[in-house]
Amino acid sequence: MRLTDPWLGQDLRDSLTGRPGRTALTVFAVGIGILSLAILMAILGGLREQTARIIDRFGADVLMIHDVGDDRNADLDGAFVRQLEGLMPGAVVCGVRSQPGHDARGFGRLRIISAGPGLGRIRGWIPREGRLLDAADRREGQYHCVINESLAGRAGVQPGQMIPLASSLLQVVGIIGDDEAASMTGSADGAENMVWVADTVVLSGDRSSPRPDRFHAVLVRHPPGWTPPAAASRIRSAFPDTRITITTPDSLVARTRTLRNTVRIVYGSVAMLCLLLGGTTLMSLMTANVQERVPEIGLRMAIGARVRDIRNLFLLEGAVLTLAAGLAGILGALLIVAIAGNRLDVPLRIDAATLIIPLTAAALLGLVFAWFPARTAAAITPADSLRVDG
Amino acid sequence: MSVIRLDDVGKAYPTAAGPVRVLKHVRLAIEPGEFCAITGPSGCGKTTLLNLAALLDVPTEGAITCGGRPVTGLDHDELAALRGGMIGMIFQKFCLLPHRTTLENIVFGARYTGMPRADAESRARELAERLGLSGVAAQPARLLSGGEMQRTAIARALINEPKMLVADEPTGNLDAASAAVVMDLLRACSREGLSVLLVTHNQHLLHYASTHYECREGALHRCA
Repeated sequence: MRLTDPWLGQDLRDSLTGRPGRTALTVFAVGIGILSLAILMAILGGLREQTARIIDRFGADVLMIHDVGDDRNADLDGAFVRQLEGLMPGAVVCGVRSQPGHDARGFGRLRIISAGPGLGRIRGWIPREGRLLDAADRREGQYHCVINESLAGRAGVQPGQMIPLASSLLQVVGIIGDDEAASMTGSADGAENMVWVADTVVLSGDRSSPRPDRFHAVLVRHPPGWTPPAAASRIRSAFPDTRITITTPDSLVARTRTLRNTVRIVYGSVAMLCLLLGGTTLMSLMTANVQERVPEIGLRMAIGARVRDIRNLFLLEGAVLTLAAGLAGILGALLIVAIAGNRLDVPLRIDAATLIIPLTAAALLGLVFAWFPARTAAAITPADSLRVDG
Repeated sequence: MSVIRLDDVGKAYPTAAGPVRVLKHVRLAIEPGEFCAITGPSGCGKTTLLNLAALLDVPTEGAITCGGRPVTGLDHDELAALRGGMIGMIFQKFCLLPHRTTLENIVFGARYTGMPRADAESRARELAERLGLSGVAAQPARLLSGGEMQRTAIARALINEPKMLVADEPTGNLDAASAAVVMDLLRACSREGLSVLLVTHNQHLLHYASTHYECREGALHRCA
């Protein structure tokens, strides 16, 4: 049987439209399975993309040290930062305080980052306008700040202009991109704005500021020739009694990999179950079709159909049904991603794999689950199928 | 040369109690243009005989030749090709595809013979004209009368220009007038050189036939 066979179109049209209820039910059942698979692929794609973004923002040669337990900020102080600088000559070390800011002016959600000029170097920020904070800003405790683009737009400020913050007036010295700021706010969609001030600046009226010279975290860009795990190991061995957690790019990847695997197993099981149910629906409805079409099968054999013509006809019907279901499922998934994608906390990404894998699965599903009914149809003998009293 | 020839053919079906012989020592040769009728009571084996003559089944004993070619030992695909080219079948229940039009049902007869579709459509139109079906050519088969359905089935059987028509109770579901039209058609085909093998209960149809056999208890007896 060739796909270019001019007779084939009518055969398939008759088969599929002859029992519209069954055809629709099969497409629906298989389509749900394919939709589940497409959504799974979109979630995995989204998680993969998010992981890449997190790693990219975090920095491939960066470590983040933060304290553990209830004794917050106990060990992360200026002395700790200086010891790290001594431990790894050539490293850039920067203590960071992070706290929510007050949005009294309608600037949107704010996060105040208090850190020295090393932050810009560790993050590799390049100012869009103005400059980053420098050593003089820190040394002299200047009320200078660097803000992100969205905040600059909302506040209508340029470098050199003042911005009010926590009862203090800060002079904006530079503006960085929203995506760069997101590496400190954790807000991937730019919903949270960032104000970076020197860690030596104490904002008046801000009671949430931690004690001076205490940090929430310490960022380290290790010197060339080191690796993040080697640097982490060196720090742990140098401070055996200090209760700290060290996050490296590898540990971040491991964490997201665990999440991806969990999604793959849990949601993948659901998707597989849906596909299996779709496949068994296809098989049972096609088997019923074969039973009803025994006289037609006999007629086809009487006019010269070979066994493989009959088998291939039913296999092709199964493949066409599941491909139609595959397209419907993928369209459904695209629709869900378009309508609900931004409202869900789960990252979703549609790429080639999201389309190709479900379609391939649909074609395979059609062939596998149509095999039994096709074989049953091909096994019917012409004499039996045309049997009448005699 | 006989169109179909059965030499000492027997057929047995396996059952739990051992093989049951439905046909035994059947000798039958149908010549070109012969109109052969087979009658017999239900269960006598005439459908089995028809299936063997139409190459729908294979014998357990004896030999069958079709157009001088031995059929014994041919595989399913070779039998299917021979069946499609040599034999046209007509059924009591017509076996039309109800959603297709009259013309499409006639064309369907050439589905597996390798005839180009355009040629099949052209020949189907000729047959529809000849069998008085032109007026209903575009109608779905399910809307046809019984007589029209059977004429459509005959046209379908004729589209491949077979050597023999095998008709299984072709008038069983028709009124007397429609039955007469169908039998006249079959006789006309026979007079044009086509062999016809008719299986029927209806003794009134025997005058159409040139030879008559009676099937009794699996054996075939020629009648005068």
